[in-house]
Amino acid sequence: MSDPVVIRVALVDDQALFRSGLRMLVASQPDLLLVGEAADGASSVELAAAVRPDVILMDVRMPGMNGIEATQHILAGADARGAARPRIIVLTTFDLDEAAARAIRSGASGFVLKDAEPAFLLSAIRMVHSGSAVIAPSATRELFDHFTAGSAKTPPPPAFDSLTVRERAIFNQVARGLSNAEIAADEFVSEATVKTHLSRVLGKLGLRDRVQLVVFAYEHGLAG
Amino acid sequence: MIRALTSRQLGTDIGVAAVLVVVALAYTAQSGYVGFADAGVALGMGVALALRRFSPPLALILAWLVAVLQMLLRQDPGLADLAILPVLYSTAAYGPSILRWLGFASTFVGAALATLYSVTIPALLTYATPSVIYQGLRAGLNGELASVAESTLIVFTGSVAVFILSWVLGVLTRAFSRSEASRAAQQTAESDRLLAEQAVIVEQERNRIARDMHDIVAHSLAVVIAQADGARYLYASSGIHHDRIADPRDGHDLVDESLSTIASTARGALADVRVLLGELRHNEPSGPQPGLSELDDLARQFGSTGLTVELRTSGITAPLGSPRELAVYRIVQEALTNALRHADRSEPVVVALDWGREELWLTVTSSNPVAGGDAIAGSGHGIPGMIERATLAGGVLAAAPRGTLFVVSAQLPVPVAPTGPQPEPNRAVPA
Repeated sequence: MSDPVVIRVALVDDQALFRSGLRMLVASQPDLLLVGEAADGASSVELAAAVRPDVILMDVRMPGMNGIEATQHILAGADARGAARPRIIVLTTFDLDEAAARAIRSGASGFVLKDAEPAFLLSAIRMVHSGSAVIAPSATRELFDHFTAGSAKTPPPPAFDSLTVRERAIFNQVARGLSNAEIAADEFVSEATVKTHLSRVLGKLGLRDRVQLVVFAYEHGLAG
Repeated sequence: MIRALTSRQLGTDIGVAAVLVVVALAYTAQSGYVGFADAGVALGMGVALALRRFSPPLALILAWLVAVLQMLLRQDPGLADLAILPVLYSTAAYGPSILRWLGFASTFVGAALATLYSVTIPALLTYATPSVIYQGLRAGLNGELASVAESTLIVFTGSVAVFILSWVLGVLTRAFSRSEASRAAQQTAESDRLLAEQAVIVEQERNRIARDMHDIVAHSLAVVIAQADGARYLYASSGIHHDRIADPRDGHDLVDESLSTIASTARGALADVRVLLGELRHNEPSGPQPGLSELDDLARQFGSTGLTVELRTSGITAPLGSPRELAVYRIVQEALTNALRHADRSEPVVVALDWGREELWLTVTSSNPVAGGDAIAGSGHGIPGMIERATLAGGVLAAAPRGTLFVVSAQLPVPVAPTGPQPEPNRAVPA
């Protein structure tokens, strides 16, 4: 962590040629640093513990331990060590991949299609690192819409009632997929204020990050 | 009223009827003069006989009319009356239920009339003056009257027995042909079902193959996209800018353009593949496509169900390419599934991979589920699917019982390695 603006990125995918493509992409960006690669879930857990990346690009479908389990292990490992949790972006070939939905439920910060435009992937890395916005919020909602259809939505837990009026307004806007900057403009407050409110909302609801908030809103029927 | 008969059936009926008429007339002629009444009765019964299958109700009506006419004309019962028996038979065998029961009633009414006409009335007319009847009734049934009653009873019983026998035979024939017909219908339905099932299996397997292929292609396209984009970004950010290869016409960077084209074309192709895969994809377990290296796991999975699987490899293993590896995996999976379902589980199943220079021989040997039976030849065993797999991988597959064993054997081509370690430079390569 010598330079605070550099985002440490790790790559996990069983296809070496796919990794080398992403490696070139990451290497082309001055604010991104590739700190490690792994070809399967199990070695990605070791890698995460050893090099402590800020953001991990994780393939969901891999031999042995898949991306879902690896996500769970990496986050649990960081918690156990008391270290900061890396942000995990799930890579998938299919837009409606149930595995991607499960990975997000397991704590991943979002998903990106493997054929997404490079600019999109790069901005997704920066977005989840800063925690300022959700990657592709409408696609994420669609994903959960597809895989939770039919299962009844549960009423929000009592913790939801403890949100203040302002916090609830922020909650709704994050749930709609707005970024901190957009919310700040809407609410006539500074971005820092939005960030403070959001972290309080996440704390009250026991949520990890804003994509979890989107899922929470969806599952409790709170999404607009 | 009228049944559809083949010309042969109709011909037979008319022929038999004609014979009866001729024989009856000949018999009558032997004992004397053949009158119009004799001829009429014989002819009428003959026509009734000829009609018995063509129109059972008409035959019954005609037989009754002729019989009544015969009595009115005071004719003795003759050979021609034998036609009544097949007619009764036909009412039971071919008629609708109302005709069947009319036939049944006819046996009793007919027998009663015949007995009265041929035995009782002549006897009474001969012996029974009113005084005889009176005395006979007074003394209980005895004397002449008793003998008349006795012979009446005997003849009636005999006639009913003969008539009813014909009728019952008809009923039996009907029941038999009914069950025959239903068995035939059942067989047709069964073979239709097998055909349909087979078609469904082939269709399902084709879908699965298409899905597998698209999956493989999708992952390759993702690599193409990642490589092209990565190279483009790296190229743009590196120091090669100053001497970039520019289009002389408008100064565009050709490398950048070419890489963009590769990426966007691959993106378009991947989008197409995604559409083709559609909904099929989503319930698949997460994991890459299985290949040869997963055969051990597969054997272990089946082992945990109680099936002993021996995996044997001989020859020099060569790279097969993911579509063919997948084909091998799926064929083995299907063959083991069959063995699990049908074979004797105490016998081990042997999966053998024999590598040749140009082809891979795959053999899965299990105990024969139905020794000597042909049940395996039917569908429901995934064999059409396995054949489809092997064919699409450029190979062949056969699955058949061999004695007490059931053998699935496939031959798949091994691609010639493009970068062989020792290409013989001096040998001319045929074009």
